[in-house]
Amino acid sequence: MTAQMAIFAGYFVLVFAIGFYCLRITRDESDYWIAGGKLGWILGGATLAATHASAGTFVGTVGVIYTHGWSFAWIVLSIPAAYWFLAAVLAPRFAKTKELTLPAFLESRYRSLAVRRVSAALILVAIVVYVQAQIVAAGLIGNVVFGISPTSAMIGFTAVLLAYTALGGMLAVVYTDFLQLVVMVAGVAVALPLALQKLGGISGLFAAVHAMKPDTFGWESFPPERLVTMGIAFTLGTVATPEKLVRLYAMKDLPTIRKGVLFAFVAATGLNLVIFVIALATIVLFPALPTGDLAMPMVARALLPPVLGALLLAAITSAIMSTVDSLMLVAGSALSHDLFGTFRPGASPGTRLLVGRIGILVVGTAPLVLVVSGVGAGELVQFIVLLYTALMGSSFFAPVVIGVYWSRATKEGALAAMAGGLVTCFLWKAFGSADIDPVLPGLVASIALYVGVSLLFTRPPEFAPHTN
Amino acid sequence: LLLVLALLTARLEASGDGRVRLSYSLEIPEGVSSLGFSAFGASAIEDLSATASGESLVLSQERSGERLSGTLTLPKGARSPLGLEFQYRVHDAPIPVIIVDVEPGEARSGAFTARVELPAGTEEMVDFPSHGIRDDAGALAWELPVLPAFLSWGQPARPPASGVETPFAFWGLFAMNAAIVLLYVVWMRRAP
Repeated sequence: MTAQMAIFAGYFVLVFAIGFYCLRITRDESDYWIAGGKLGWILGGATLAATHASAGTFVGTVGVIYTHGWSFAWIVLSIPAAYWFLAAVLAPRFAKTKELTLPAFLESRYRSLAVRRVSAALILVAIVVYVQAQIVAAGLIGNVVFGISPTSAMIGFTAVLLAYTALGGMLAVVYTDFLQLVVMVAGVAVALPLALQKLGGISGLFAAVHAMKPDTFGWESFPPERLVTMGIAFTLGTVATPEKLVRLYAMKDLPTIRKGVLFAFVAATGLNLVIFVIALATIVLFPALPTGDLAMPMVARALLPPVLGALLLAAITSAIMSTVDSLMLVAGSALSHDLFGTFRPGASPGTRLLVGRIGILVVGTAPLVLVVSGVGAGELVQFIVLLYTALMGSSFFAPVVIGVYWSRATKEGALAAMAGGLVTCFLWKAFGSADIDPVLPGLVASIALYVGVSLLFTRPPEFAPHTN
Repeated sequence: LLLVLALLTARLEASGDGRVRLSYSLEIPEGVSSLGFSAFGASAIEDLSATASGESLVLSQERSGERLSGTLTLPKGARSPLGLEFQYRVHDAPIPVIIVDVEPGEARSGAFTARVELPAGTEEMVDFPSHGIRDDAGALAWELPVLPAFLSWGQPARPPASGVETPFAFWGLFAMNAAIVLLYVVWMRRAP
């Protein structure tokens, strides 16, 4: 365990050093929120991929395949579908407008401060849900690997994360994301051959899985409608989530974005596929886990040698950190730029940055309080992630994606779509059928409100994004 | 039904033969009369028997490939905590761990411990689980928060299995993703 502790400590020191370095080179708000908007395709793609690979990938996906079988793996097709859509449909518009945040983009599209404020508030609500999943996963790792209580692990993890994100902003997040992607790829690249070696190669793996859980490759564990709607949720979760969209602003131009998106989805898809195979191995190697979410931490704890296990744990931690830091940044920008900044337009950039940093600390602490209070207890990590993607997709798909093409859409329609999508999604999660992911009713309600309410109001005079 | 603790001890002879004892402490509700179990590595398990509080239990077992599964009949009036012990013979590593069909309980340090005495002069290399250590008496010892499927050290990988077809759902997924990447590259080169 000493080697693991040393590797972990070294990793955190490096991340802090990057945060501190970025604090020193951050000159203005543009540097802090979108890394100056000058990223190349490797750094831009890496930060997209690292943000995509969250606890949902490393802990949640493995947990679902461990529990429900391979059919869930087909969800991975949502990644290239979503990124292609991002590059082909949204990137041209985003590259033109170069705003600092998604709510600012929506304000420019609808010429409405209310749209900006409401979207910022919705982002904050959804982010709390997503960060909850990441914190739960961090608690599991601390519990299994270091033997400390999940609550202590969650508190320690949140403290480290908030400190470097608040310090360094997007520049810190981009550079640490790159480091974290490298660590993630290295971690699974080492774990896969070792897992296969234990079971006699890929054919041995299939034989073992077939013997121990013969329905693994069947389609029984998820009804088709559930799989399809989960796929929609993940696709929309990639297309319409602010932490991904804002990365389009961070890259310097459209050709760079297209290359960066290719880099991102090849990296994210490859990472997922390798992790899926590792998940199959865990079905055989650890047949009696209390929760599937423990499968990947157990790979690090009991499959890999100590030093390599520490590397994989650093990878899992990286995945969590690279996602949460991005979310925190979005939350901070929503608070400082889109809420505080619009209520106090005369505030200096320095004051707005300070509010953003404080906001990051506050928004980062809220999910921890919820988790420790028992909210969402017992839910598989991936299903918490799924709720976040459903909330984001339901709220923002219509105003962002349809909005860039349909010039007849009004601010009233956008407001109704965002609020209606979010509320429907929550209501379906609480009272609706478990066989249909909440994203579908949420999306249908959101689009219906968007179109219906827009048509009730007079045609807007100008379609902003085309004029920029 | 809830797993509280599991302890495995084994002693291997120079011939590679060994005797395994696997003790479980279980919380069981009143009225439970039978208990299922399974293991990965059926071909290595011989002479399987089970006792509860010193009383021999009737067990049925079935082997399908490397999977062993079965049911044992608990003594009448069995109460919590139930001390259940499996005994079986193995030949060399890996040593399969028989998993009882109960709720695993919360993962915590030391929920599963194992100690395997090796013949003198064995040059072991801990293989799986990976964090095993050689104790003062020269035995290999493990402590884990959950049950592993088997214990192994120093032996070559299992020979590739035959007779199981690669599921289409597996390679099909990889092929579709590769095709999408190629299509994207073509699109990217032609996009204005």
